[in-house]
Parts: sequence; C-alpha cells; structure tokens
Amino acid sequence: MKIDRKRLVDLLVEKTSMERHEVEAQLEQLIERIVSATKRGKALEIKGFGTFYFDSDHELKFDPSRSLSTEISYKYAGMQPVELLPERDTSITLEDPLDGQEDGDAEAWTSADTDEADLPSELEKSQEAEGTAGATSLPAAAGSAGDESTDGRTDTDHAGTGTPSRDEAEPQLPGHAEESVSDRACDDEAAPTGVPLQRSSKTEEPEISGSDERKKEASAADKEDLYASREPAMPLLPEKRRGSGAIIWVIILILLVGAALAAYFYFAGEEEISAQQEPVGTEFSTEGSQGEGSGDVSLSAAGDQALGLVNADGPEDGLPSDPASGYSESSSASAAAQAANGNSPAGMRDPPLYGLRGEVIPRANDGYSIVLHSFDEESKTEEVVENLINEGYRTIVGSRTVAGRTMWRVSVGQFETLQDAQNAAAELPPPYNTQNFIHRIQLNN
Amino acid sequence: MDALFVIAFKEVLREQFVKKNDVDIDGLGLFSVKHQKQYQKKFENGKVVLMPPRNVLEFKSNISELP
Repeated sequence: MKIDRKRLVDLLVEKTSMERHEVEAQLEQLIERIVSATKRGKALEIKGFGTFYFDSDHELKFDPSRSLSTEISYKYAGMQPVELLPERDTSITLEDPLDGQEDGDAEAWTSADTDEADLPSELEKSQEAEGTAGATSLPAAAGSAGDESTDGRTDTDHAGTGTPSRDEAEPQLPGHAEESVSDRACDDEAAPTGVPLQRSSKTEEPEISGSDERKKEASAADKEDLYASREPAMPLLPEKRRGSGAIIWVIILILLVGAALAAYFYFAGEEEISAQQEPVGTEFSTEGSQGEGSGDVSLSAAGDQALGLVNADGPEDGLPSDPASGYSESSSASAAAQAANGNSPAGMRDPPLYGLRGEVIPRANDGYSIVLHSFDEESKTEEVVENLINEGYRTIVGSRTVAGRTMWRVSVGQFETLQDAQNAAAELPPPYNTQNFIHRIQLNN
Repeated sequence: MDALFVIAFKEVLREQFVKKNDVDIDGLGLFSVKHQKQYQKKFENGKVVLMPPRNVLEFKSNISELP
C-alpha cells in the first residue's frame, strides 16, 4: 500500500488533532527545512527517525536511525550470521602408522597440532565477529558487525540480540574447533606433500641425517636397521593415533560379536516360528527394512507387542505422537520387546534423526530449522504451534527478548545441513515455501 | 515548526514502515521498506556465513539539485 501526501496529511491530522491546513503548512515547512539544510551541505537529523543529506552525486539521501531500522526489521531481530561448517572429507581412511609413512604421518600430525594450537585465536576472532554483537547494546553491535557486511548501518538489525546470542555461540564453538581440527588433520594426511609437511620435514632433517650415518656404519641393506632408523620418528606420533586404531579394532570386534549374537537369537527364534511363515532374509542387519519388520512382527505375540509400541510412539504416518512420550523411552521399550522375542536389536524402526515431520528429537537440535512465523504474542504462538504439530511438523519455538520486548519464533523441521533445510523449505505448502528463512536451531537457554 | 508535529510525523511514518507501506512525499521522496533475503557471504579467509534476512528502509529522492 502506498501512502501519498494527501493520505499522510490525513494521518497527521488524526494524530495531532491539528487543522488540516495547519498540518499541510507544517509539513511543507519541514520539507523546506530538510532541503535547505542539505543544500547548504549540511545533514539534517530528525532524532529517532534518521538523517537527510546530499551525497557526492548531489542526490538527497536518507539514513534511518538505528531504532527505526531495528523496528522495521523487528521480525528478524536477534538473528545472528550463521557460520557454515565445511563438509567433512569422509574419503580418508586411517592408515597403519608403521606402513612406511611414518615420516609423513608424523609431519602431518605435527602440522595438525600446530593448527590446533592456532585454533583458539581463530575462534576468538569468529566469536568477536558474531558474539560481540550479542553481548552489547545496539550502538556497539553496529560496529562489531561491520565486518560481516558491507553495510554497517543495516547490520544493527542483527545486533539487537542481547546476551542470549553469546549463549548461543558458546555451545557451537567447541564443535567448530573439533571439526576443524579433524578436517585439517585429514587434509594433511591426504596431501602429504603440502606446505605444512615441507616445513615440518625441515625441522626433522637433523634426525634423518643422523639415522643415515648409523645406517652407513651398519649394514645398509639390513631392514632392522632401516626400522631402527625410523624409530626416532615414532615418538612424534601421538598416542591417540595408535589408540584410535586399537579402538577401531575393538569396535569391529564388538560388532562381530553383536552380529553373531543377533544371528544366534534370530535362528533360535526362527525355530519357534510356525511352518506357515515365509522365510525371512538370512541376513539380519540393523538396517532391516520396514517390510522385514512387519514380517517379523507377525511371527509372534511378542513381536506384535513390539510393533504396537512403535506404532504408538513412532511417527510412521507423519503425525507426531504424544510429546510426553520420549523418543528414547519408546525406542528402548521397543528394543527390549524385540530382544525378548529374539528379534533384531533396536534401530530397525527408529525414526530418522533429522527431518521435517515427526517428533522433535533433542539430539537433532544441532542442525538447522525453517522459521515460518515470528510473533510478539505468546497466545498466538501457541495457536500456530498447535496447528503445525497437528499437521505433523516437527515444531520448535524459540523466544528472544529484544529491547524489553519478547518475540517468539516458530520453526519446523530439524535438518543436518543447510542444503537439506533449503530443499525441505522449497517443498513446503504455500505460503510457507516462499515466506520462510532458515536458521540454526536456537533453544530458549 | 511545532515540535508536536515533528513527533507525530515520526510516529506516523514509523507505523507505516512497520506495516511495509510505501510513503511518497511530494517535494521530498519515496520511502519504501524492502525485504532482503538471507544470503551466504564468503570472507577472504574462507569462512562462509549465512547472513540473516532483514527488512531495510530505502529512500529515493524526487528532488535533485546542486547544493
């Protein structure tokens, strides 16, 4: 809707109870004053509203005040820039530290340790870039957010977060640190000829030359001496690297034992099954399909009971169940029933950790969500939340207090990645598919 | 100029901006509220952030005179 001068005068008459001609005269006087001041090369500020000035192109410009900018963007007040985490490189596999790559590994770990040591300063910088805005009041926040955007003025829109934003940032930082370290370590392993490795190899040159001398003294072809010459590099390997290899072997052993037990219970339970049943697949992996699950359930009364638990609590039809029933409880109950029946271990019918519909899973609160509404009335928020839950969405409500006013932000879905959230947002029904934005999940803590 | 009028002027315009109404004042210019969608911003150090959405007030003058 467009308010022209005539309509504006009407509104001003209503507001001031002045005569119309008087309002028109006052408005004309205000405009003249703005123009004359700016023509003299001066900026005219209307406090609490903004500043008029002529720019270098001799064009009249207007900069809204911070309070006006915040009020205009009140719906998005408190939102902080979200740092996107780099994708993990899952193609890297652990190598045996004794497979002849000791030097390279040692160098990689050395460089990784160096990066790790540098990380706190980087995190502090990022925290300064994001967190400072939340820790300060509006005017200070404008400055701190200045490096986040080319427009320092409009950054004050995000700055009204108040203290909660720092609280939000803190839990994320350790996660960043861990992932960054792991990524860097993997990168160095994948590219042993990288710059950090060259730098590390320089520092180890004396050790290598020393080992060569020893090799010359002994038999040059002797492999034991060769290994002995490499032994000095071993202390550079961190213990956790060797320890992680052992942990992997332990995990593999546990999985094998688990699989053997599952197979044992499966075949033991199969003996009790009547001959009318169709045979189920010989493999009984933890990723059993729904079809297999339903087949299993029909086998025994205990299986029916197990499915009953899942149907009562699980969001199979996309609708959320009673929020009071915790997901973990239902999952464990189902697992117990299945274990009693000799069925596959839990996990067969687990709802996905992330998704648009179903119940909110606390473990998935480290991801992203799609914001559909922002309200300053709690009653309206509750009404909308109830509707969204009835429609089967995972619904999350977060509240923020900005300048003494509390606003509630309603979002749906829990997504691991930003891309997943964007894809889901595009598939929402109108008007949600266009009127939404994605943010990192923020809880009221 | 009456101070009461200036206060009323600010309040009326703020109310219209919050409602996302454009305000066109002859002899001055057009105020309009635009929505800026969220976008990804990449910094020189490789850090990528998702900038939140916001509403911004734009002003387009309908006068252009040499000062």
